Amino acid sequence: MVVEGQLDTVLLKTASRCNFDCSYCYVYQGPDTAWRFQPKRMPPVVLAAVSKRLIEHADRQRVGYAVILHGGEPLLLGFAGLAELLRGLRVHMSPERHPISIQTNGTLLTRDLLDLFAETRTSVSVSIDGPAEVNDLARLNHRQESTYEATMRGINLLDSHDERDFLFAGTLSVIQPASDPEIVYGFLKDLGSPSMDFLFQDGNHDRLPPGKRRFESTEYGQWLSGVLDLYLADPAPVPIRVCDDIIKLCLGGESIKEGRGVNPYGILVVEADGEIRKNDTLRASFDGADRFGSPWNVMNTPLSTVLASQEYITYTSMQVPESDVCRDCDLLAVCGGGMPLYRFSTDRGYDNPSVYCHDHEVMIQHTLSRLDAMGLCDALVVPPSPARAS
Amino acid sequence: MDHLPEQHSSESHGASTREREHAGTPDYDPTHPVLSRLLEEVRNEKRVDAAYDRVHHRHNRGR
Repeated sequence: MVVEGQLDTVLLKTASRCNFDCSYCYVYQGPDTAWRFQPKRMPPVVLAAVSKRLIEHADRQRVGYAVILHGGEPLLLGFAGLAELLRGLRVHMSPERHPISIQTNGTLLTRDLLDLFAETRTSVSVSIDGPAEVNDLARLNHRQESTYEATMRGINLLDSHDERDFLFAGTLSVIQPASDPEIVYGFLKDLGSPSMDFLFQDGNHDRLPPGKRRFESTEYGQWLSGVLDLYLADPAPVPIRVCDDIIKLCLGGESIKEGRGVNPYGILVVEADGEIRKNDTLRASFDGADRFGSPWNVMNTPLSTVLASQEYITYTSMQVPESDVCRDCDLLAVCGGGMPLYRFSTDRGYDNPSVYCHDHEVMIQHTLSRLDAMGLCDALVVPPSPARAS
Repeated sequence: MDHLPEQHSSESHGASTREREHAGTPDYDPTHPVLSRLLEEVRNEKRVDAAYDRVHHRHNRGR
């Protein structure tokens, strides 16, 4: 369990632009405009400063933390910048204590980059939503053309590398609730993905997520329940993080990702200009929602200063929902109130249940019912209520 | 049956548990590929160095 003031994950915005124009992107299609004022790529002086801060904090914090290269499209930084950053970090930060990974759309992967990632023990997770007809519902380029073939080329390159087993961390897919979960699951398995995860599309009480008809509807919960059934019936499954987290929380364990369960998560984001921010998904709420009040930047501020601040403690405590609906709910230990960005409304801020509240309920009740039927009734943190499952 | 006694909250639903056992609920299959792995992870999380292990699983995030 993470204690307050501890760093869990740092996201580095090595590039503030993207070669994709996905319709659901919380960075470029949301209300936040900060990216427009960022340098397109993290400049050398910021790369040096962020390396210094990460190494400095690695020496200071007893427990390791993860570093994730993110964007925009992080590979837009280019080989030279990535090599400088990753090689510099690995001189002082071991893969055992400080895993480094990249979240990419895969289109800019090259053999040289993969060799660099193998050398610096940097794993690669690729964003793809499913087969072409699903992927192309949202993941288009700036000419509004399909990105599917370009992403597949990157995945095939990754899949054929000698160090594939280390390099290929998994796939990350945004749920298209109108798609067939069996088709998406089968596609990702055939792809050879060693680990899957599925995300909700962004939205809140002012702006419902795409594919969700109303607050009470459960399109996403039903879709995930379908995936869970496929997962549990598969004799040779690969881990699915969202399912694993919910199953483990139902069994009294812990989640891995923020937005599920009640553990706090220490997440900081470093923008391309070095500014230190909160979890960037908050920017889907309103312009500037992820900014600290203090003008912290890796050029002038150690990470420990941020982590010791009241602002940071207040920010990490956002994970605990304010809404009485959540506080009184039997399922809070599992859903944790969901990601804060999904709770937002202009009128009440974050004092709402998640816009995905009913989807959470369907998925969790379905999980509880399945675990109960599989003989794990004694281990469940709450008894199932099958009438509320899908 | 794998009871995970350290996490068992029998007080909250003990009666219904007994009812299910009498009704012939099948035992948990310890070879199930998903559940056996996750139950092992839940057990391991109770170790003192669990927070250290967790960072190794946080690889894919974002869009």
